[in-house]
Amino acid sequence: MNKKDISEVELRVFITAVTEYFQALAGEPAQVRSAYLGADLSVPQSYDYTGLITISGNYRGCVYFSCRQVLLRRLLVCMGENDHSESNLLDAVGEVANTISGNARKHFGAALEISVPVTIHGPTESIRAAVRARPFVITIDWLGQAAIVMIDLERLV
Amino acid sequence: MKSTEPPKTSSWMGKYRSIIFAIGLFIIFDLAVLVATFFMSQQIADDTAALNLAGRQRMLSQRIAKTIYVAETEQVSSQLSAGTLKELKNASAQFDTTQRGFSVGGAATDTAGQDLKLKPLGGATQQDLLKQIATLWVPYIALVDPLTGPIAPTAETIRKAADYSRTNSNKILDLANQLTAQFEADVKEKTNLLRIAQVVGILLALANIAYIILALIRKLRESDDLIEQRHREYTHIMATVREGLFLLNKDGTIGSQMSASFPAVLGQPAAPGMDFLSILKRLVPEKDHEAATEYIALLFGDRVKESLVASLNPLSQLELRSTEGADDMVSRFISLQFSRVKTGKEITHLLVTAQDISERVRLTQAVKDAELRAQEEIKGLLDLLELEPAVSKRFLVDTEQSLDAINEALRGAGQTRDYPSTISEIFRRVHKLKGEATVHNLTLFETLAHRFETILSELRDRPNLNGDDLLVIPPHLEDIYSRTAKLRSLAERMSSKDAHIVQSAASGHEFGYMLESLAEKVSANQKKKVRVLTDVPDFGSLPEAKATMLRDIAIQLVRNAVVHGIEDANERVMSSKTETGSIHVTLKRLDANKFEFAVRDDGRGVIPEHIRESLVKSGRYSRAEADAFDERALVMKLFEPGISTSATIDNDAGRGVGLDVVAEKVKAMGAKIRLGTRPNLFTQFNIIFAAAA
Repeated sequence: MNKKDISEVELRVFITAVTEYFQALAGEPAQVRSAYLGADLSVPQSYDYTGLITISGNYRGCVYFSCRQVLLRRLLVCMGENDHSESNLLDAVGEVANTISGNARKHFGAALEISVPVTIHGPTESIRAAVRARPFVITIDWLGQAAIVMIDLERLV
Repeated sequence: MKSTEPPKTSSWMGKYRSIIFAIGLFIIFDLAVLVATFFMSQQIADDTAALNLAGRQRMLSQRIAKTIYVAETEQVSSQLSAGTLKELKNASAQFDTTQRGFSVGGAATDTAGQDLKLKPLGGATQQDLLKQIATLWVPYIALVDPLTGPIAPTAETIRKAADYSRTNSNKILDLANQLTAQFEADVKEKTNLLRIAQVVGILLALANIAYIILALIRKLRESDDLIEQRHREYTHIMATVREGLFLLNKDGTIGSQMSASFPAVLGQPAAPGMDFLSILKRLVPEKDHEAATEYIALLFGDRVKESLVASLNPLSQLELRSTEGADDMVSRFISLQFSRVKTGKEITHLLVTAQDISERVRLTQAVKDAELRAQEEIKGLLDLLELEPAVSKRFLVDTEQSLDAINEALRGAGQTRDYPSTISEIFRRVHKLKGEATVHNLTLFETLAHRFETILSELRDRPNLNGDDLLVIPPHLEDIYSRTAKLRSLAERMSSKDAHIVQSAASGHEFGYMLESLAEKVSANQKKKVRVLTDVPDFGSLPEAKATMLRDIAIQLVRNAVVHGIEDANERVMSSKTETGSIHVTLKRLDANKFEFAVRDDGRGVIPEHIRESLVKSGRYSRAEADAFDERALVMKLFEPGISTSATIDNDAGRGVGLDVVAEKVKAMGAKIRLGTRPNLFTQFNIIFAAAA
């Protein structure tokens, strides 16, 4: 495999962040359901909340987490938050992206520059980073709710 | 590295030159004062003796006069005694000897009666006084001598001497007094001079000592400042240098000074005094630890040259074992270099330099990988260019379609969650891809598929396969995707012919040739002798979909025949067969729409016991279950994924996928398959299918 390609170990850095975050929050880890190559960066329309981080430095590209509103509501409940307003939902999805960012920083160190999470409600068509022809898509499941982690990243060194 | 030498003597002398000069001066001063004191004391002693003698001359002049007057008186009374004359003789002789001694030097006796040697007096005043005394003494002694001779003196002789004495005795006394005073003045002057010399000498010596002390204090302060400055610089260096630096003691402990970064480079706690090899033991495998121990011992010994053993350093590139579990995902490499430190000729320490070379190793590995990848791609490209453009394009298109199908299977796994089936499906597709690659002699794809199969094989054997396990697949899939796309692009650019993708399957002739090539390659790998005879004239008339599937089936069956059916030459000869095995591939038209495809080999046949062993080996069936299957059931098991009768895994067999693919294709074709076999005689697969559905 080309050394500049993203390896399984690197994919795990992002995925573990998400699964462990849910585990810590609800005592129930998120399960990986499948991992495949996506045709582009768009996600199913029904995944309407997205938290995205862009990465530069030794890596380039973006990573995002998308899910349905119902998952975020359950997440807020687990956090003891009863206010499920739009801003709180966006904060919740942003927090997941933030966790991915923190785990990535911990593993890849200072060589990785990570943006603050951008949160989006609605389709992700506006995301145009696309450094890979086929980004990595990992679908996960938490308490019966599906979510997706998209990794469109390439290693520069 | 050069050994550390002590400061050279010359520089050491230079550093303390002024102090050494001052100490030398001090010694010279002291010696000078000593010599001057000795010399002047001697002179003063001589002068004191002379002073005493001068004083005695004064007394003797009076005694001579008195004795002469006594003799005159005794002469008048005719009672001249010999004692008086003797006293006169002694006094005059003593005076005369001393007078001569003072004038020209010579023996004399001191006031205590001891003999002494007189030197002529040096001073002009003294000589002048002596001359004046001599002027008076010479006539005087001439008059006295007859009085002390053997003949008794006459009254006249005594009177003349007495008259001269009365006239000159006091003059001589006066002159002797002057001489005495002169000696006293000399002694006093020399005593003063000696005192001054001693005072000056002592003052100079004191000044010298003061200078030495001040100079020493200054030098000490300079040295202290220098030491302080060096210590400060050294501390800064040790605190900021990125490399781990320390001196390794002979007993294996870390020296008292160590750079602050060493523990960070090592990723382990380390401190002065700790045992270096114990720290190392936690980081490296036992074998490397032993090698490092021996190497360090070798460096501490003086039998080998440092430069000669440098290349033997087992720690020049060390992959650190992670101590933080799976979390620490990036391997770290460090380099430990050792240099001898000598004091004189003795090796006292080893200077250890520890460097984090992870980035360097990664870059080197990346360059190697890139080179390997480029070589593989060039080879892949050349292999592709050797094919007919249409064939190579079809292969690449087929490959991309297979990859798409694999990706779809992965995507679908999220829904079905039947991960074992997903892996089996992917396995079949990858195996088919490998078969195609082998047929076309495309080593790159064969290798990529084989690597992929290795990963899939591990997954298939996992007891509780879940979605998380699939994470290993997309990176490999992407690798084959990107290489395929790249080669396709390159091949298209390099191909001068305006090739087009063959829409229909190959002709019967091409199909036969392809199978013969496949058998030739696989038999070469297996070191067997095989001949393939094909009779497939109607292959070209099959619809594309059926032709493609039949081709996939044929590839697997011919490969199986070579690997599993045909024995090696020795075994065949032992079984009274020809060395070269035969495989017959035939395609017969049974009616307008029906065909029968057959692959028959004259090998060892399917041996039920071998299948039983494979079933047990696969872990899916217990020994009891395997034993319970009848022969027909056993044969059917061959079509299950993961069952292989091959003892080893190589590019050609062993993964238990071949017949799995056949079964899947047969099903897709809506065909029927029949297996006929006789131990040690033949194995034949017959597939009956309709050309049109």
